[in-house]
Amino acid sequence: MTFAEPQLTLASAPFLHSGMSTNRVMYEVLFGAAVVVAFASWLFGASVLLLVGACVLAALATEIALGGRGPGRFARVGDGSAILTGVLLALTLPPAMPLWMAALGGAVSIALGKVIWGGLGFNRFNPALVGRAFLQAAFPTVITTWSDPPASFWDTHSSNFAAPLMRGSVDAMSAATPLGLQKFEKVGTDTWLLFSGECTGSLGETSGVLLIALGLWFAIRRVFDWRLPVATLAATVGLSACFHFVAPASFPSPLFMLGSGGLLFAAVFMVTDPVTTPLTAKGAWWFGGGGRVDRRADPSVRRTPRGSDVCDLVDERRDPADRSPHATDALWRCAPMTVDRASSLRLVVSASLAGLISGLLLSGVYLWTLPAIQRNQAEALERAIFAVVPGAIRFRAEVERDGTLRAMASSDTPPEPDQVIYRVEGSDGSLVGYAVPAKGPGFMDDITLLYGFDSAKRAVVGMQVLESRETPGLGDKITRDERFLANFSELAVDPAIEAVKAGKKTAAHQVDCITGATISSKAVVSIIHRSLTRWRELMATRKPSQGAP
Amino acid sequence: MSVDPPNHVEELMKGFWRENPVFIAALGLCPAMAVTNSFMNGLVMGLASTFVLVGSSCLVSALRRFIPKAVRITIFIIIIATFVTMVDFALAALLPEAHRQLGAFISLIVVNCLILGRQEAFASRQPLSLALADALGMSAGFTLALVSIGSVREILGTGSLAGVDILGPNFEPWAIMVLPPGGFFCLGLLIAGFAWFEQRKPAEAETDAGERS
Repeated sequence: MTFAEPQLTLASAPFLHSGMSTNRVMYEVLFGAAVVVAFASWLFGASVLLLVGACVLAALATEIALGGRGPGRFARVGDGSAILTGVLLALTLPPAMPLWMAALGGAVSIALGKVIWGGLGFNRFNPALVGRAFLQAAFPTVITTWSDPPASFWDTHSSNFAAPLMRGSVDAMSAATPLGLQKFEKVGTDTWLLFSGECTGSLGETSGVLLIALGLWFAIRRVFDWRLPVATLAATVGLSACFHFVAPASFPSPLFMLGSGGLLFAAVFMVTDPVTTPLTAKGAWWFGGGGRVDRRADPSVRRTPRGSDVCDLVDERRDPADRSPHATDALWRCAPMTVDRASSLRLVVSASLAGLISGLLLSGVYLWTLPAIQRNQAEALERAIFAVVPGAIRFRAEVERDGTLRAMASSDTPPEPDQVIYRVEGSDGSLVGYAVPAKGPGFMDDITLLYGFDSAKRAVVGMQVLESRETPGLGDKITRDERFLANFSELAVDPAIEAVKAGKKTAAHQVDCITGATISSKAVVSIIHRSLTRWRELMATRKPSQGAP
Repeated sequence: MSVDPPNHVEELMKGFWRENPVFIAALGLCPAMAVTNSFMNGLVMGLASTFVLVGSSCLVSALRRFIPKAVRITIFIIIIATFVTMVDFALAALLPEAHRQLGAFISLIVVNCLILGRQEAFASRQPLSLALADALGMSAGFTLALVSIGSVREILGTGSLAGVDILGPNFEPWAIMVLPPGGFFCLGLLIAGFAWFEQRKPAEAETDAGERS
């Protein structure tokens, strides 16, 4: 039995068209972005054009490379979306960024921000912001190094031309952005400068007047829903007004919040991304406003001075199209298991037997490995003590008893680790100093360290971090940054040790922090400081036993 | 019972590639991302898991007729935990530095679903020799995955491989690669690479056949 195939044309919604096509939106926004690029290159010179070029080329190349086969491959490139992603990404970067990093960001934007979700219209996050977030996480120091505008247009930053994978030479005078100044030094910036744009920052975010004008233009041309940026800005102004009203000293004015950082840029170019925004008016209000409220509430976002990018990214989520997980049937290909009805006695006996054998086995292994483990620990302690106290030959543990330090007797109950210090002696048996273990909270978790103290010089003479879980790549520099560790090779403890910003050390009792690891550096200093207040007088009052004058 | 005749080579090789626990079956992802920020960590973790998986699979397979079905999971876990604790002590005694780096993740091998999964799905139903082949193959695949993730992350995150500097002093490290998100990126891209490779293979075989005929 056969049926004639009916001739039907199937088409899915929409059937009415407002005249707004993907290409038109993209090119309208591109036009606006071009104006921002022009202003940025007037301000920051030719570096801007290089960065935009690198991002756009990388974005286009990735789009073509991953676009699959078939005739649509090059047509998709022509819709302008990859170009726009590249331009927008470039506008969130600082002017002195190496070009290879910008290109990497462009490639990540398209590959991880767009293609992987199924292409334009399916992405759950704004691709440009995915690229920016990746660069922020990969190169946190580079992306927060801003520089002052150059003397002439053709003055590019030499760090722009760093070889791929290599770091740029640090020629750029790094300059603090208005947000950085406010957050770390509580210095405000003149409001007019913020809005005219003549201050430092990422490429596209400095001119408030220009961004507002473009926003109005887009809204009139109906390129985006005007509610989105308005809700974003209103939420920011409203919230910061509340905070500013309650504590004007620690929270800047709403006008400052409006003009500084990437907020206006985000409101005009990022929040309004048509792919990731709601379609209804009510949705637009919630979407635009919601991110700002989250931003204030979420401590992880508040910690960075550039929350705008983070919350735009968090904002721009859509509901995922659920896909069924790919199960690997072959892995579970197995013989059927028959269920037996064993007596409960047998169950108990076999489980107990297993536990018993396991216990016996483990106590054997424990006894067998114990000496080696103890030897390792003792060796590690010895190495650390010899490293932090120069001239050490031998040491012994001491505890505080009756207000003085006494040798720990073997009969003593082992005290808490932070109640023991090590008296270190030189070759002639004279007191060289003390090695003191100390522990305290770091940025992520407790930091355990050992420092050497010279009673005669009244100075810290060495420090080693024994255990820390600080952020790899940033905070964990406290364990190996040579310039930082050198601070502790002779650090006066009077009047009190003190942490200062990197490069600001002027006195013998100060410690230069590590750039990008300020919190961890300060944690180390405060751990030693607390331990010193506990032990300092005890270590100092005790006279050298013999030999010393 | 199994329809195919037992094939040791087949059981040994499947874990390495076709049913790679990490790249294909997506098992044991926690250690695959948490400790693989360097080549060495990946290797030590892989070898520690190998010891545990091979040991428990053999024991479970040998005892499979004596383990009551109703309490089998409990007994598997006791067996696995015994081997894990042994590894923990042995590493602390022999490789204190690696033990310090891997920390709690050694103890967490107990809850690696790859290991329990192999006991339930394979070792408890197959003779000792097959269980051994399966465990060796799966462990090798797991170690391969950990080492490859670790290598990529160490090269991009620190510019060196197995502690040997290969990209020079001017290399700009990608901080993200030694952080957990780097693990996700790396694993995701490697899985994508695996899938792409697998997809291409049959396609190429077909075109080859077409050209020949």
